[in-house]
Amino acid sequence: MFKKENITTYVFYILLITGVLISLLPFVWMITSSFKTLAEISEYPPTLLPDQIMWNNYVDVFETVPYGRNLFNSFFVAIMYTFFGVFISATGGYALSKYREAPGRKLFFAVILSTMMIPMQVLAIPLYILMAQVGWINSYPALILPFAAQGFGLFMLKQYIDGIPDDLIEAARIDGCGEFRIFFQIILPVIKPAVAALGTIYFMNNYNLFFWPLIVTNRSIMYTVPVAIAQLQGQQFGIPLHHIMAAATMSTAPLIIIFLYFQKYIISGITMGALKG
Amino acid sequence: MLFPILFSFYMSLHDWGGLGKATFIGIRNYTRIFTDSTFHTALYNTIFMWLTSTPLILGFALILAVMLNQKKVKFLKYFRVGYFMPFVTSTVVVGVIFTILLDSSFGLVNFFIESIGFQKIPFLTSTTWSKISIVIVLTWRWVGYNTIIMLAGLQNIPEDLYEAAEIDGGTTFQKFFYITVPMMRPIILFTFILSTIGSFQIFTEPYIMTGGGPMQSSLSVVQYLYNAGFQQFRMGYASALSYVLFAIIFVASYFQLKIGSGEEGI
Repeated sequence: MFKKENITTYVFYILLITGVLISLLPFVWMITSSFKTLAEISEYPPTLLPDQIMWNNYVDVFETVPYGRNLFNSFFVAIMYTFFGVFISATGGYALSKYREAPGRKLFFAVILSTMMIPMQVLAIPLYILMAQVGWINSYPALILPFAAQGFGLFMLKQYIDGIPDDLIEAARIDGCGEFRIFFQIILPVIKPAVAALGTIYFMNNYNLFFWPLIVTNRSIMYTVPVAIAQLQGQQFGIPLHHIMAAATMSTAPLIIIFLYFQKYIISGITMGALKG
Repeated sequence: MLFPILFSFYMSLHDWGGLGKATFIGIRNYTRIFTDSTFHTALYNTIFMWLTSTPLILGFALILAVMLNQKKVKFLKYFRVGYFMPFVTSTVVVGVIFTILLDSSFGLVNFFIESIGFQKIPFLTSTTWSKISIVIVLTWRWVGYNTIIMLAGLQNIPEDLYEAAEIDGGTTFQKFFYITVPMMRPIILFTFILSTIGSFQIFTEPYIMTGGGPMQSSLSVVQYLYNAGFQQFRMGYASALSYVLFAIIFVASYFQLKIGSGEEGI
C-alpha cells in the first residue's frame, strides 16, 4: 500500500516536471541558439550548447538594425500606454461607480462594455486612416493613444471601486476635501492592488503588441521590438537566425524579470476577470 | 470609440484605395466576400485551428489545474510560474523560436521524432502540416494561462463536496466527472469563449512562421484582412471583412453573455 502511493507520487511529479520542461525548453533553445553561429543553428543533429560562445551576435544586432532605438520605443510606448490606460480606467471607473446621479450613466457603461467585444482588427483600418490624415504615421502618439482606453480596464476598476463604501467619500467631502483630492488621496490608495494588476497586464500586452505597430510604422527607427524582429525574420535571403535569437532573448529577458517580480498581481488580475465574468 | 466603428461600416460600402476618392458600391463588398474562394480558405483554416486547438488547450489546462490543486503538491509556486511563462512572451518571439524548433531539416522536434524511429515531418513547408504547426504553438502558449484561470476556479469549489464523496466511497474519476466538471462549467465556458474569440483573431503565428503558406494552407482570416487592407490597400473590402469577422465574434460573445448570465453566483 505504502509502496503504491509512492509510485503514484513519482509518476505525478514526473508528469508535472515534464510539462514544465516542455513549457521552458523553447526559452532555453532561444538562449543557447542566440550564442551559436548561423551555421551551427542549422546543423543536424542539433547541438544543445554552442561550440563557441558568440557574444558578437548581440553586438551585431545593434549594428544591422537600430535595435537600441527599437528597445527604447517598446519600453517608452508600453510605459506611456500603461500610464494613460490605467489613468483613464481609474478616473472613468470612479466616475461610473460613484457619480450615480449622472444622466445616461447606464447607457454609457453598456456602450463601453460592448466595445470590449470588438476585435482590434475592426478598429485598425479606420484608425489607420485617421492616423494617416493627421500625419501621425511613424509617431509615438499613434503607437500609444488609440487603444489606451480599454473597456476591460474600466470595467475591472469600476468593480473594484464599487467595493469602497460611500461613507468614506461623504466623510471626506464634509471635511472639505476637493474632488481631486478625494480621488488621489482616498480612492487611489485603496485600489492600488487592482491598479498594479491592471498596470502589469497593460504593460505586457502593449510591449508584446504586434498588429497595430506593424500597421502604423514603416520606418525602422520607429519599429517596436516585435516589428523589428518580424522584419528580420521576413528577409528574403539568408534569414539571420542568430541575430533574431539574440534580439528575441534581449526582448524577452526584461519581460520575464517584470513577470517574476509582479507575478502575484498578474495572476490575480487574470483570475479576477475570470471569476467575475 | 464609436466613430471608427461607424466610419469602418461606412467604408465597407465603398470601393476605396485608402487615398483618393471612394466610390459607393452598396453591399457589393459583402456579396463578394461570400463568393471569394480565398476568404473561404482563410475561414476554413481559422475554424480548423479553433476547433483543434481549443479542446487541446482546455483539456490539458483542466488536467493540469486539477493536478496542481492537490493539497500535497510541493513547489506549486514554481510550477505555476513555469507553466505561465509561455504566455508572458510575445507571439512574435514565440513564432521565431518555433520556426527553428519545427524546421523540417534541422529542427529539434524533428530530431526527437527521428530518434524514436519516425520520419522527419515537414511541419512548416507542407500544406497538411502547416495548420497543425500553428495549433501546436497555440497549445504550447495558451495551456498555462488557462490553467491559472481554472486553478482559481477549482480553489472556489467547496471542500465538503469532495469530503462527502469520499465518505460515500467515490473514486478519483467519479469525483472528477461528477463534482469537478459540473462545478467548473462556468469557468470552462468562460475559457472556451475566450479561446474562441482569440482563435478568430489569429494573425501573428502564421504571419511569422509560414506567411500564411504554403499555398494559403495556414492563411487566417485576419491575415487575409491584413493583406487586403495593408498590402493591397483595398480598404473598403478589408473593412467589410472586418465586419464579417466582428459578426462571427459577436455571435460567440452573445452566447457567452447568455449562458453566463444564467450561471450567476460562482
